[in-house]
Amino acid sequence: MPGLLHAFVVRSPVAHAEITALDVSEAAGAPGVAGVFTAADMRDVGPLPGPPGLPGLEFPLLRAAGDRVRWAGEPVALVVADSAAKAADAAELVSVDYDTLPAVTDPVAAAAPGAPVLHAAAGGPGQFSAASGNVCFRERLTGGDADRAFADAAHRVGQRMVSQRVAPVALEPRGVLAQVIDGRLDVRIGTQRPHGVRTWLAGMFGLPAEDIRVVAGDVGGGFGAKGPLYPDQVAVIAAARLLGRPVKWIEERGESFLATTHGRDQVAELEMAVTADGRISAIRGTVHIGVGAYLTPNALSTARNRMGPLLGQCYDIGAVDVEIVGVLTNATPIGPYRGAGRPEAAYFTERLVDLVAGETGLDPAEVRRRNFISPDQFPFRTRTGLTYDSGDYRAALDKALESYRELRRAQAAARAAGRVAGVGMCCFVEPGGIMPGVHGDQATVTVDPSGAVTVAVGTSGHGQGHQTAFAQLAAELLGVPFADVRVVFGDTDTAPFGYGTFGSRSTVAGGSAVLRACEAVLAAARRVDAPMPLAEAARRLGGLSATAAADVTGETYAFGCYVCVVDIDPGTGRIRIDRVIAVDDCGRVINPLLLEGQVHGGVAQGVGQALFEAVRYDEDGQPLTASLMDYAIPSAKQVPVIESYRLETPSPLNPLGVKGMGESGTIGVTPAVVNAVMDALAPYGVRHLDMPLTPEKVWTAIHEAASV
Amino acid sequence: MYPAEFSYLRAGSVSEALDALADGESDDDLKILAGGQSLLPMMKLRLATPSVLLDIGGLTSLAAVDPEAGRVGALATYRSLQRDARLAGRFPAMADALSVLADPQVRARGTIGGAIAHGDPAADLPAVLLALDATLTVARSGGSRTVALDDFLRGVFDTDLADDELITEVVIPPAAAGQAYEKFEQSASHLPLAGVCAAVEVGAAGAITGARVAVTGVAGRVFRARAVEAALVGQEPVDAVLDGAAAQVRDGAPRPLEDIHASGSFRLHLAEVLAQRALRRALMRAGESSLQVSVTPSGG
Repeated sequence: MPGLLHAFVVRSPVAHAEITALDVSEAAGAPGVAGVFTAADMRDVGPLPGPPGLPGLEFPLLRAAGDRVRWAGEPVALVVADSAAKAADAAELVSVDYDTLPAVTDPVAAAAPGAPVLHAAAGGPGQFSAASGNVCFRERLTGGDADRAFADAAHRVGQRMVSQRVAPVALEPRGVLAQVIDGRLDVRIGTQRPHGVRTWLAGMFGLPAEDIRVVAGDVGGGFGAKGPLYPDQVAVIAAARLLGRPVKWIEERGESFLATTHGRDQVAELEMAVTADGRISAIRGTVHIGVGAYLTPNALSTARNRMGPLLGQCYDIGAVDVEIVGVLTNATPIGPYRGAGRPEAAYFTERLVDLVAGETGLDPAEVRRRNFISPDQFPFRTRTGLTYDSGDYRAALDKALESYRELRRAQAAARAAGRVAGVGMCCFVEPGGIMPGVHGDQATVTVDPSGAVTVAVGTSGHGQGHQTAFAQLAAELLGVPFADVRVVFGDTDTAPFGYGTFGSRSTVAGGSAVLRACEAVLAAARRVDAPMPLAEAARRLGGLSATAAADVTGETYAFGCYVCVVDIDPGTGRIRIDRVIAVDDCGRVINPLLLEGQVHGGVAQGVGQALFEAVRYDEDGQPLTASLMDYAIPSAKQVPVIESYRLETPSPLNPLGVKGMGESGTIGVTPAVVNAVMDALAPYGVRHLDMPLTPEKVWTAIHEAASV
Repeated sequence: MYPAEFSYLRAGSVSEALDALADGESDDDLKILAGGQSLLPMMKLRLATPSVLLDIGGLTSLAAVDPEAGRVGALATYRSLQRDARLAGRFPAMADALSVLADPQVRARGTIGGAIAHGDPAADLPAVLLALDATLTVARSGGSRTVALDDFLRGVFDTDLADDELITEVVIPPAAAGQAYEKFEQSASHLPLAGVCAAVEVGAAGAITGARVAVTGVAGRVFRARAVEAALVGQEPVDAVLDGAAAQVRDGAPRPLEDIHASGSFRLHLAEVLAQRALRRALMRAGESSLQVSVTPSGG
């Protein structure tokens, strides 16, 4: 590409500091450098979006002398040169003086009095105030009479549990290529939300949306982290406009561990009230979430719209009283990460349910059965304000536990032979299909005079297989061969409006839009004088096209039950997962292979959180796991063949009867693995261990118990 | 990830390489490129910034392997060693290590000489070579020397290699069949959190007549667990003896490494467990006195 420039981001090497001096003059004069940018150059660019109702805590774009940096990796300056290597060389010449401050990365510690405070008052009156220290959000979720339930309880089962901070680790890190073409801002960016990016850029740069083109292209994995728009990306786009030349930036792997949003980071102290016959009557407690140094738009909704309200999971729990506390920390900001609140809720609840089983002496499957919402209770309104559309939780459990007796027999035999073996389960619900705005995602279906069909849709697949699923859908609805259908998305110039792909929404939102657009095309085709195949009608009419919007309301609730069998080497604490049995019900299934693909990927990531992954910082907020040499993601060796089954309980909420399910692997398998490990360790009297269940942690628990 | 600027030279002969090394001033000035599996990632992170990279990859004479004589050229890749059945037959512990070392891509390019010169305290092959009493031939312009591996490895990324020297060969004396390598992986890097190689000789009367046990991943350098060895020699190879000996691994061990992946005490515990397992497999091989083709080390 002629004139292409390359960017390199200068980042804060420290977690918390005041910038006392920032000198880019030497860098600006280095060979090949076209410009070095700091906050001063971003003054005309509006702020990045933050969470609704809490302004002032969003990512700043770049920094200047006198500013404070709040996480190790925060973008400070941007160097643009005619090669990536020269940009990297020149970046070393940017001189920044940091006056370091104490840092805090643990959310509970950051919420405590005396913790280093990250932000002064932000936003307007009534908004965030430093008087609350680092607590930027505090909400109490209540329903029913929890106090009464606890007073009457035969058992009270409580546990402190941590859903640890993890990094998404997509195969492809982030990047952006920005240029101005014929007066329009053209942005190639690895994103899950091309129309969202266009809207945000329009607002930030004061441009009409039609003067911006956003192209996602072939995105190498997102897992939620490519949903937000990031300050480094915006700085590159701003630089391209200021320089009048195309500017490209590709994130390095080590950089991505610092600069791409993380997931989870929640600490829960929760307890369940249980009646004499094993019915869970209430859940209460506190959950702290470490949101990082700044707030992405979803940081708080993850905890308050997903985790908190989902603490009831599949169960008919009469009362809830949970306080959710959002805490700013000197860590990478939290963004959506596969599950985004649902895995945390499933983990906290399912661990407690197993502890209830231990306390009451009931089999863990029996506790679940006694508490399930039954099929005749749908639509079911939870105490936390959600409405589950449809479900049959008992059917999923029964299916997953078809060989339960054999599994327990095998466990007994293994134990008799001196092995440490466990069986664990997790039942879960998975909300999906969210519609973030009033107007639904759109689809445009076009039939050429030749009969070729193009389906353009506003969702934005990045590895889910939408090209196949939507082509199947359209082919069946239109009565044309699958091979004649082409699916396009990801380019705001050719795809109609949509919210993008995240939160397991695309089959519901995109699928429903495709359905309505196909219906409209078929209706238009009836203008011909006699019934005939669609391709023929299109030829006669000179082509057909229709655009329609998804008209779905309310989220769907997929569900499932996952069972894991583990074997632990008592000499080393190494856990081997012998079986993963995954039963998923996501309503009507368009393509079982795509469903399985989602399950497999989600399971690998869920196993990662259970056994291997954790983002760690030292006491100064320095990242300790910022490379693949230290941050352990599972390889194919560590994940067994996944036995995947499906049930179909359709959703009444959309014409296809489908439910989103892309995140079920991460939601279902993590608690199942942990419950299996704790089941294996039960003979040693070990009550609970926090993830990741590393060999040292497990061995130490066994060793300490054995020596008592 | 872009390295700092460097110039690249490709050596046409061993003497050309040695002359270039003699002319160069230090590691910062000129660095040897063999397989590059450790050096190149360090250069990309700018942890290493040589101004000249001297590629010796074309010096095929340095890659020759003579299993009967126990001579392994420094430039032999892990993969070529893995595929040499005669080598696996003579040194089954090496076959063990090669089967769990890194991954196929790294094994295709990484070299035995490069691994030794790098001095990573968590590397698989040096444990095997130490247990087998390997010596190195180290050349410089104008001569060469022989040095025992035990004397060559000093500490974390610290070896006895001078700036003008090049390892040309690894020599492994003939060894009995009773040898095995056991590894416990660090989950992210797949390097050994602990790795133990045991090499034993069993006499006609059935007692252990010789034992060498080397431990990697646990301390700042690969070390011989001499207290374990002493507890084995002259003893019957029974469970109580093996486990009692393995428990001596802490005795005289250098201070263990501590990091986010494992504490020092857990590393030493792993060394004990792996020693128990390596000794058992080594004795099994000694008893069978023939190559076991399909043994897979546990703890992968």
